[in-house]
Amino acid sequence: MFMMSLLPRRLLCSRQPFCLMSRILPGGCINKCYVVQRSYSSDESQSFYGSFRKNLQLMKEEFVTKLKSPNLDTMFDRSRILWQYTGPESLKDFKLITDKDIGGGSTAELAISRNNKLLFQGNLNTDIPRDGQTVRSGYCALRTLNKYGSFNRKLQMDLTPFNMLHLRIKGDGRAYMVNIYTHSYFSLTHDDVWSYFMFTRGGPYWQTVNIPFAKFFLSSKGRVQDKQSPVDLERVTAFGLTMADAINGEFTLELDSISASYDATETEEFVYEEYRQS
Amino acid sequence: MGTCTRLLQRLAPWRGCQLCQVSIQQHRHHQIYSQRIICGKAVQFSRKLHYSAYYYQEDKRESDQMQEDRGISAEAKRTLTLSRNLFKEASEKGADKETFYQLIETFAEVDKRKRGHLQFIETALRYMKHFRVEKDIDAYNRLLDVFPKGVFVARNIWQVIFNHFPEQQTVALKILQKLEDNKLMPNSDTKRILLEVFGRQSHPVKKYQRIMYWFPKFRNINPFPLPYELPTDPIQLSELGLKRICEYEAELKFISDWCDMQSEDASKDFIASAQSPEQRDLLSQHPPYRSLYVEGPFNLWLRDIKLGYYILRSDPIYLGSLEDDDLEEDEDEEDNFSLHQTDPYKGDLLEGPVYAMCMTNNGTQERLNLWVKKLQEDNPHLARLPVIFNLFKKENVEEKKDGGLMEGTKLLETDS
Repeated sequence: MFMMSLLPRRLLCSRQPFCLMSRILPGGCINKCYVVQRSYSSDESQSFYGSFRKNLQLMKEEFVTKLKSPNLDTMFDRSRILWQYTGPESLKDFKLITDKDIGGGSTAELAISRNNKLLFQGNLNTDIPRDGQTVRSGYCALRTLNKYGSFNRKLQMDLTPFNMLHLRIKGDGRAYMVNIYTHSYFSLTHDDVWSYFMFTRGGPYWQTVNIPFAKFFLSSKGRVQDKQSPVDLERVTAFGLTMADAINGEFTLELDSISASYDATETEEFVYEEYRQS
Repeated sequence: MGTCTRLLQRLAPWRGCQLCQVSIQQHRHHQIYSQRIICGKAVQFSRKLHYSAYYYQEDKRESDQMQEDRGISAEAKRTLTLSRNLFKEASEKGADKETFYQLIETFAEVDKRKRGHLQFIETALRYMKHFRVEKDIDAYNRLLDVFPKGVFVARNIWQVIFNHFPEQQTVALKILQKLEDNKLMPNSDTKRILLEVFGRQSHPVKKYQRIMYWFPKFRNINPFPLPYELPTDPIQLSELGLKRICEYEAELKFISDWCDMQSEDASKDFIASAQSPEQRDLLSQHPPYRSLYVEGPFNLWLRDIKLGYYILRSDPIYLGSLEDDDLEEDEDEEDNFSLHQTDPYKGDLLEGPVYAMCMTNNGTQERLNLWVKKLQEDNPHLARLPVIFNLFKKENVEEKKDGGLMEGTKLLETDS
C-alpha cells in the first residue's frame, strides 16, 4: 500500500505543524507531531530517496508520538476545538471555492477582519454562465484542507465522542450552509457531503451556532439524497461553509472557531427517517 | 384500419389513399402524424394501439373557425413559433395573471392534440416572471394541466425502468424545480394532476414527494424569523432590522422631528436608534481619555433586502495589556519586559463594547453627528467624549475588492 502511494514524485516534506491536529494535542506536543500538507510546488525537485527517507522519518515520529500518548489528558475531554483563528497563518487552513470554476461571476476572498478574526467575504452573483448547459449558478464555499500524514496518507478525525458542532461567528443576516466531508472508500460516494443550515443574526455581536451532528443530512453533487444516513463521525476529513442563498449581493462572515462537544441532552442519533427503499 | 399517409407515400405514391380515394397531394395539405384520418367516416383506433388524439374533419373546420374568430390564423397555428408568438403578443398588451391563464386556455383550444405542448410550457416558464405569476401555485398547476392525461403513464415495469416519455418528464421536472426555487409548496391539485399525467412511478411524482418531505422539515428552522411579506417602508424595515440585531434588551427610538433646512424631502428622513439600559450604563462609565468611534455602514440582510447600520463603539482593548497591568504589581520587571515583547496577534484582542446602533436613510456625517447629539439627551456623559467618525465609502465597494474601506476620521466638536 505504501509503495503504491510512493510512486508519484510529489511527496511531502514541508513540516508545518497542522492546526487541526495540534489542537487535539496539548500545547507542548505541537512540534512533536508532524502532520504535513501535500505540497506540489516546492517539492517537485525532491529526489525519490530523499523524500522516502523523510517520509520514513515522519512515520517514525508518528509512531513515537502515538506510543508516548501525549494526548492522554485530553482524549477524554467533553469538547474539542477543531479550528481556531490563531493568526494570519490560519487563513492557509482553508480552501476557497467559487462558481468561477463553472464560469460564474461570484467573487470571494479570505481576509483578516477588523476584529482580528478570519473574514470570509465576497459577492454572490447568480448570473448563469452562457455556456448553454449550466442552469443555475452562484456559490462561494470555504473548506478546510485535507490533511496528509506520512506517505501521503489522508488523515481523518474521529469525532465519535461528540454530538454537537459549534461555530462562533459574526454574520450579516444571510443563511449559510455547514458541510462535513468524510472519507469514503467507493468512488460512488466521493461526492457525499453532510450539510445543515446556519442562520446568522447579523449585527456587531458574536453568535454561537450549535448544530447536533444528528441533524446533518446527506447530499451528493448538490442534490439531497432519498436514502439518508448519519455522518460517519469516525472518518471526518474536512469541514466547510457554503454561501449559496440565491441572493445577489455582498456577504461577510467572520469566523472565530469551530469546535465539537458532547451534549447529553441530545439523544437522537439521526433526525431524519431512514426509509428502506422499495 | 385507417390509412397511414407516411406508409402510403413510401409504398404507393402514385395511388391515393385507399380508404377515402383521395390523392396523396391532398393529404399533404394536412399535418401528418403517425396516423391520419381524412374522410368523414368515424374511424376509431383502439387505445392500446394508438394514443394520439384524433378528430373529424367537421371538428377541424369548426375549430379552425373558432381560432379565426380568436384572431389566430391557421397558418400561424401551424408554425413552430406559435407559443412564442402567443406570449409575445400577450405580453405587449398587458402582462398579468388573468392573461397568463387565458393563454393557457387558448393553447388548449388551438389544438386538441396538444401538439407542441412541451415548447409551450417551456416558453411559459420563461415568461412567468414577466406575467408576475412566479409566486402563484395556481399558475404552476395550470401549466402542469396542459399535459395530456393518461398518455405518459407507464404501464409496466420496463417502461418505468427505461424512463417512459423522458422529454415530457424533464419538462414537468422543470416546472417543479421552478416552483421549488420560488419557495412554494405544491398543493393537492399538483399531486392529482401529476398522478393523472405521469402515474405513480415517475420522476415528477418522485420530485413532488421529495419536496413534500423536505420542505415542511426546514420550514421553521430559522431562529430569526421574518414576516412572510417584508414591509417596503424603510422605517418599518429598520425597526425589523434593529430588533433582530438586539433582540430583547434594547430600546428603539425613532427620530424624525428635527428641523433640517437643507433637505428637500424632510418627511422621509429618519434615524432609528437602539440602545439598551446596559449599554447606557457602560457608556456612562467610559473613561473620557478614550475616544469613541461611529462606524458604518455594515450590511444587514433581511431576506433579499440589504440594510446598512451604524454603531457607536469604543476602541478595542488588548487583553494582553490588561494582563500586563496586573502582572506589574506582583512580578519582576524583567518578566514584564519579555511579556511586552509579545506579538500583538498572540494577545487576545478584546473588542470594544458597542454602545448604540442606528439606521438612517442617509448616512452622511452630518446625519450621524445629529444622531450622536440626540444620544446625548439620554447619555449626558457622551458630551465629554471625543467621537471619531469612520464611515466607509459606499460607491467604491464594487470597484475595490477588499471592502472599499475609507478611513475618514474627523473629530467631533464636544459640547460642554
